[in-house]
Amino acid sequence: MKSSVFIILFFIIGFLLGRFSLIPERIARLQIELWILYALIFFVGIGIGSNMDALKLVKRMHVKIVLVPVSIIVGTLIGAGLVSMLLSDISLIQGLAVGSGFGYYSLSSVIISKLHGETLGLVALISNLIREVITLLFAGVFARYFGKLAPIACGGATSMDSTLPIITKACGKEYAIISVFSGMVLTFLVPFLLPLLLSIG
Amino acid sequence: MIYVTISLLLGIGIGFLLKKRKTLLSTIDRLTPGIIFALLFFLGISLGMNEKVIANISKLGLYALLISAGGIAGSICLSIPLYRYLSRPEDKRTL
Repeated sequence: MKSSVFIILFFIIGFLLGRFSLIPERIARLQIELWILYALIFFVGIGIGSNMDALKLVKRMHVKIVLVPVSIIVGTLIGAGLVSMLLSDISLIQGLAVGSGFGYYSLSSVIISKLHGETLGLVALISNLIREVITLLFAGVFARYFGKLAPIACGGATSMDSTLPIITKACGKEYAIISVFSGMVLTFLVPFLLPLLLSIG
Repeated sequence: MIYVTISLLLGIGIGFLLKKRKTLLSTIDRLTPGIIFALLFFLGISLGMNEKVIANISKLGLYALLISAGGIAGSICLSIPLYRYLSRPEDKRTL
């Protein structure tokens, strides 16, 4: 939660500096960010490769636990896809790409803005941030009216860290492990799914 | 675009090899937030300088809200039957 605040703070400071042209054009147009992005993706990869706990969890729990992240992926893509078909400015692939952040706004916004365009990157940043905030605000309500998997579904990739405490509170401790597993799978999937989707569109 | 996939796969391979090097991994873990801060900072700068973004910011915000609402609604809709299926009596132990 604390790091989310910092991330948004850095973004807003950068935004204001750019808005009021406080950064020399030449420095701002350097392609340094692209290399920082590759470094970040590389580090994310190291995190995935060195941490195969998610696989161990499947072995320990029933294989059916895999259905949780699968249903979140399918449900999110259907929902985001339907909405994007109603919006004239957003293509289906663009809508699916924004949805495929699953709440992981820092990584998805940067990947989308570099691989597709800054405008869609901003949509991804706001959209995925909203997903995290809605989970934090409504986990309890969702658990009560839609069942105990609903807050985990809403949390998406964030259910392994930033929204885990609120999900555990809303659903009970026995759901924490499912929440962590589902969030891990979705977090790992974001850097795979996004470049794949954007290469189609 | 292919560089993203290559960086990712390279990272996974190296991460797998470094699995036992806990101190090195925790150093990398501490570096990652810094990189994310830097990237979002740069993203902020280029978005702030992008006139197209500034001119359309409220429309883009609305689109973002609608897409996240769609994604959340879709995933919650599927979670309801799955919750019923997984909490059937014989599956009680798994949940």
